[in-house]
Amino acid sequence: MLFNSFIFFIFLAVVWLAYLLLSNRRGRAIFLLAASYFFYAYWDWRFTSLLAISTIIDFTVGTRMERTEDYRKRKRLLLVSCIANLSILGTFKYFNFFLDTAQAALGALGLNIASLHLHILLPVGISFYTLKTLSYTIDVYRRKLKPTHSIVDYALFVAFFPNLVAGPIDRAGNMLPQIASLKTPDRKKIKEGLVLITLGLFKKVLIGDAAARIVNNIFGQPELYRSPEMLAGLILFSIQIYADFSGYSNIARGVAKLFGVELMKNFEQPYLSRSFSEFWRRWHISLSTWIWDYLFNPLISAILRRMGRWKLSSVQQEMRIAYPCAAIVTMLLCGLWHGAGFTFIVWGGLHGLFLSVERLVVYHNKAIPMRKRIHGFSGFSRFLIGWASTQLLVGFAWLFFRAENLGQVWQFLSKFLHWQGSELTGRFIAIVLTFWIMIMILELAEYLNRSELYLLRLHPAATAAVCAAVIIVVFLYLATNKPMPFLYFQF
Amino acid sequence: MKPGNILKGFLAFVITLIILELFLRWSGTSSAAFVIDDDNLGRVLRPNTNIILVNEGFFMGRVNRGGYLGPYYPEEKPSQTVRIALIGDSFVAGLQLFGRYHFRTIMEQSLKDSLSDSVQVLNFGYGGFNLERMFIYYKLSVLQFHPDYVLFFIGTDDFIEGERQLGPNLKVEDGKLTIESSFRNTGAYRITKKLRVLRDTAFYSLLKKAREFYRAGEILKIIFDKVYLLFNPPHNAAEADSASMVDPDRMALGRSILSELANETKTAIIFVVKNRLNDTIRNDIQNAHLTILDPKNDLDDLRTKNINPYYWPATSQSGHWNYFAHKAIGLYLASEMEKLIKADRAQIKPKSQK
Repeated sequence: MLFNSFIFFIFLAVVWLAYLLLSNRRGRAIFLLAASYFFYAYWDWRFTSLLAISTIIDFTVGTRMERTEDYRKRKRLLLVSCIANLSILGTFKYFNFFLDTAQAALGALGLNIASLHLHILLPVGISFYTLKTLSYTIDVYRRKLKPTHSIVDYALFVAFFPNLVAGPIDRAGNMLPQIASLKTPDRKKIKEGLVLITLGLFKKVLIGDAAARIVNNIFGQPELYRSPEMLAGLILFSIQIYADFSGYSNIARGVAKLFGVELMKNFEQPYLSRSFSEFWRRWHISLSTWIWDYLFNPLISAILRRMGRWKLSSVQQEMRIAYPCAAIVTMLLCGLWHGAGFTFIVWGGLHGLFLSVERLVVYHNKAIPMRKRIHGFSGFSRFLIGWASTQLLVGFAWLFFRAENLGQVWQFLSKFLHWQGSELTGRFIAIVLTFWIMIMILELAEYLNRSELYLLRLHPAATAAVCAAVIIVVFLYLATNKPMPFLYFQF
Repeated sequence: MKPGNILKGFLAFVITLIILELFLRWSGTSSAAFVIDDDNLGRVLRPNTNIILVNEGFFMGRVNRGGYLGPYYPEEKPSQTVRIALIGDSFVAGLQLFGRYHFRTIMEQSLKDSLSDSVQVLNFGYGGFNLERMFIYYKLSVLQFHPDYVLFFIGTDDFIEGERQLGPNLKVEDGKLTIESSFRNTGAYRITKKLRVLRDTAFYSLLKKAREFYRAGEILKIIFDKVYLLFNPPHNAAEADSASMVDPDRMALGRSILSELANETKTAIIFVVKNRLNDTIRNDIQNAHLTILDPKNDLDDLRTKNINPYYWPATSQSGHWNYFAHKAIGLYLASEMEKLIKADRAQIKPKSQK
């Protein structure tokens, strides 16, 4: 069930009204769990079993970990959780990729083996709920979190439908206490929820989907397009992915608010970032913080521990080696998490490289500050150079993210290198500018108001009117165009 | 609610709609109307209008100042120029791909390469045109461009009663065809003209599309998704034989049009089979001593190469001719037209008539 479909809003209306009618907390939790499983089964009921298996394993691991103080036993239990979750993810998401790669490598060596490629469907949202369940067991293992004793609460934490299929990847520490006291949302929360849903639909449907229709055509048959058209396709994709995913996150957070649950913010004006490190603090925040906590930090600590034996003269020197190693490995894994393909791995590797170069060369191995106030002309120039170079390279990396394969990346790059003009350049510039200006208006409105709920600062009648106008146009668009799935569903 | 609040709400609503209208229009999400209601021709393409359409394919182009698609050629034909006019429905309009891949461009270029004279191919395609509308458009507009050859793209569907549009009609009086323009005096036409400003908005385009979807029964499918399919499973009924759906009145009118076209002396009339053409109609055309060109073999050649001429891989949708089909049709028509033009020049036959 897509958030940008009518059937979802019918489902939401029914579930929400029933939820409000239930007064008992446990009844509400059971009902929301059933609704969440229905929501998931709507795609393919068979995959609910994977969700249930993952839930049962991690709930059991969590409660058993609590019962024992034995460090080794706790570690074994954590291993069980990691192996179980990663095996399911590996089988359904990466099996064919590794198999095909191995087959190609063997083929290059002259060894031809029969194809073992399996026809496996990728369960929607598997990467997201796997990270959610893993964070739970790791936090329990690290004693940062007390495990829940209610299987219903835990199952609802994993399967809560607003953030089940594409995040935000909320931690148990944030969600479980809210699930344990499922409240009736107050008027403020409902208003905030509705505004977030409206903004999300606007971004997803009118910006993301509209851009996607052009992007899909250009990336679908790039051989038919000329250099400026392909460049426009790439820029539109960078707008599409942001509008699509941040729109989805807004709807998810808005829907959760209607049930009194606060989900974490996933985006904070990433396209205003002036460094890569800032970009990753503002882009897909729930994933970047997950990676920071469970991948990058343990990795850099492990590298530094090992480097302690080398007895380098200073921590600065140690960091000069440890940071790029940890950043590149982490980002390569981040790329692989996004998709089983070399294009995603290169995308991750590029970001790892950008982060490392930025840290070591531009900022001379010092921590990179968040956005500072701009003072004077030199400050503005610095901002402009930082912003433009960051956005340019982020945009370039999106080419790898969107391309079907590395061959298509080369097709784009060779068209950029051997520039061929188009009679439609002016039209494409106008389209790209329109989308870009709209995205920038939304980014700046959020930045200047320091809140994504800037619409609530208007007069209540005006807020309602703006939302109504947007909803009318969005629904009209949805009624005449097949809803497009969210980009991140494929991950 | 206080009147002040109502006013604030109303203003916010209107301003938001205006901003959305501009965004929809400039981003190409929903084009403003690219048609106008002409007092003589009925609904036709609006001259000097940019169009962006994303359907099974992706079109970005412009209606030229002459009110047709492709490059503009003035009404007066230069000497030593062969001018070919294409008339047909959405298959000919080709609003699914860039002009450079349209069969018109391929055909024109190919003919320019093979003939020493300059060649101009004009695309008068318009979505929804049937044989009656094509004939009226030919008489009232295309002839003003002095074409040497006019290619009518037809299929069996042109002989099926379709949706009536506000425009001129053909009437058979005493065995003669006359164009009747009483539509101008209807209330519906006057209202349509008055509401032109609203009709020219991107917002109206969305509304119109929604109405078309509703009429086609698509809206319920979109709204209720799998739940709708649960209660209305898609049935794989065998494709109805379009020959049996042919409207007898349309057939009679079609025959009158054919005999009228057969009497044309200044312009050579050629029929091109758009998709399927039933045998009765085919025989009627041949009996009227008019040329038929059928690119079926060339499209079948594509199929033998595992290319479906109606399938668009980028959007995984089926619909109008795709890039491969346009190329095949363009080359086929160029080769056939080259033969006809050379034969006409050699005075072997009077202008392409059998």
